Amino acid sequence: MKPETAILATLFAVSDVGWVFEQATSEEGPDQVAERIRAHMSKVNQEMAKAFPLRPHLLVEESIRTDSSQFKPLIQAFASPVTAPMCAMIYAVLDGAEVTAIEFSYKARESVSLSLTVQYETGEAATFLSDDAWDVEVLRHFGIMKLGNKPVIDGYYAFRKAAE
Amino acid sequence: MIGGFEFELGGTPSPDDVGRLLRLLRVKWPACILESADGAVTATIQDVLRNRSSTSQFFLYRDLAAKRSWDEHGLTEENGDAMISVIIDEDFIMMIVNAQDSVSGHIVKEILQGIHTCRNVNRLVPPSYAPKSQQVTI
Repeated sequence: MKPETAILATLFAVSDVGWVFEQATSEEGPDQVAERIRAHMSKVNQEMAKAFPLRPHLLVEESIRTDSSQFKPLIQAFASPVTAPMCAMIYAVLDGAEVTAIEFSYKARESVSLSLTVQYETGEAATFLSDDAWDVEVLRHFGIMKLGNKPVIDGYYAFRKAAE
Repeated sequence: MIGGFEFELGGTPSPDDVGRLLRLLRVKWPACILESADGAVTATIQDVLRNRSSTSQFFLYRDLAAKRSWDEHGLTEENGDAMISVIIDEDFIMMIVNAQDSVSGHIVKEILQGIHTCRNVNRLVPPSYAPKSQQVTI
């Protein structure tokens, strides 16, 4: 295993998704897994640059290395088939952006549609779209709350071990 | 520390709880300023959400004007409802406001209820192993 793969594997392990690397097979060894994940991270970087062109961001890998605790939910997303636009949305929320709108529709065995808008305090906003059923997973991670009897859906949270 | 009315939520607080607390408060106080209890850290709520403060005792001011008012005059009739004191302890979250039946009192009550409701929502899903195939002889 290459040293940079070992670093990524450690980050995934501390984020409770170490199985991504533990399941490496002869067809796709740990280094190939890391390569695939890095390619996905690169797409997420592109999505962030497209969504918030004026806003400077750390690259995804740099961010998760700097603070794996803050970005744990994003690391968990890389362990699932969540698409790059949705990973970019997750990054923005973990970076302090507010979830301002969610639209979701589903027709059995026909279609799924997900639209998520997030906004930074500067007013910069972006809408992330998906018609991939796996992306619906992200809805399970939002903080769903009420304030003044009105809905507040904000924050993106990692799955936790049941014993925690 | 100021006197006032305490609202407490039992249970071991997690970093997620603090995140929820701040995000809920941001809805009501978008220009909120956080100051650590020792005065060493002062930051906007946006920066705290971005950088995850690890401070366990802090003050949350409605905005910069409220913080300045507290700095200059301490508690007054006008600014009493514009500051919330927070203590994150090993087994509880405590939020202290000037008066129970105040705007900040209602906000705090709802925030702690929101955190309480959220705590049990997310649980780790056991990993699913990738399907494998191999030739067998029956």
